[in-house]
Amino acid sequence: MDLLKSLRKLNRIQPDQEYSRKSKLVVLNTQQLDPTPSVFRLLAISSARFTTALGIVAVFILVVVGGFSVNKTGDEIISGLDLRGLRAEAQAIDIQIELTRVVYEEGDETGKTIIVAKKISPSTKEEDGAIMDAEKILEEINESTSTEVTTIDAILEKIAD
Amino acid sequence: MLFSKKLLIRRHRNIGLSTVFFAVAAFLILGLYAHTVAAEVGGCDLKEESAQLDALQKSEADYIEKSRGELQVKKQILTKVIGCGVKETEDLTEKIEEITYNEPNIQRLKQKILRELSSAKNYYQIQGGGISDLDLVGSRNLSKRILEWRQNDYNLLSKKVVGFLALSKNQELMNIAEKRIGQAERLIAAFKLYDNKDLVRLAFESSNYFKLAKENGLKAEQAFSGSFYQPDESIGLIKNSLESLAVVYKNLFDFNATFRGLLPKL
Repeated sequence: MDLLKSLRKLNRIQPDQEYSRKSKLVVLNTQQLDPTPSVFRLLAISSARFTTALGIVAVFILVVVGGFSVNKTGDEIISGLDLRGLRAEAQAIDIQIELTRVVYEEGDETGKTIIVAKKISPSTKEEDGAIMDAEKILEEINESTSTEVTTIDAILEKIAD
Repeated sequence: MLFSKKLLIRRHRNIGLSTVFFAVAAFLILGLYAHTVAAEVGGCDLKEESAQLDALQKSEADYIEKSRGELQVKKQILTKVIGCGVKETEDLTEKIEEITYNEPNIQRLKQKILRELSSAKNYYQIQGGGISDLDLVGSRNLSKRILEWRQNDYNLLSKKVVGFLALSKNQELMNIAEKRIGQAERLIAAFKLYDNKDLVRLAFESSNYFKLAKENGLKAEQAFSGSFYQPDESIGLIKNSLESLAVVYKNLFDFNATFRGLLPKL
């Protein structure tokens, strides 16, 4: 019971009026630090913020680019299954085989050899659009050198006789 | 009676108009075809000139008149032949210049062939210089001379051009094939398919045929740079190289089909 009474008494404790007034005066008279930061400090803070932002962006770019490069590798692997491309390349090889065969077997006909030369396209770009099949190319070569056409050699032979 | 007569006249007129229309259309189509063929031979189909010469030789005109006409036509033909020859060399030069393959040996060969084509063009121009002064014997001799030159020197040069274009093209196709083989090998590695005997065999065979293609391609290149150029030999080697490349692609197609079959299980 005594303890409870003591605690209630403690609750009623008030500071001395004089002490309270003096303390208040001391606190209010204390010199305050300048609340506005210096230019250098501002610069340092903004620079730190900028570097952090830059770092975050760089990490983001790395993640994005890294992600793309992973995808690129994957695409590259899967592009090995690109049937259309494979067919086009195989077709280009077939055409070349036929053209070289014509010259190998019938190359003594200068006119024919020259027409074959005109059919060989050194760059594959030209063939990207429309690749003709080997048979059609051979057909064209035969048409150009058929008896229907009087070639340079044929007319020279005629005059030389 | 009068009505049926009018109808008959109108019908005849329609038939006439249709005939004219179809004749014009047929003429245009034939003309277009002839133009296409002529364009393909570099605009050098000398059929008309040949027919003109035949007609003159068969004509019943007197000897002097006939000879005069014949000489005139032959001169015209020779002038056209020279023009066509020059055009041919220009076309071949253009083709060779299209080669962008930067391998030093190819570039060196390219320059060599371009010089030879330039000499061939000069030859035509020199031969064409004296056509206006020719008589009948001279026109025959000039024809013979140009023909022999074409059958020997120029034929060899044109084969060289074909061989060189084919060689350059072959190099390009080999580069593409090499990438494809690399892709197939990477697929095996990426999906750890080392135990799949079919895929491994197809990739291995592709690689072996590619090596064969490369060997023949190199031999063809050496044949080109040799002092005694044998066009048939180099063209034959390029053909063999291309045939090996065709086997590479056959294997790649099989590889593709086998891999696609595995995809649902991967």
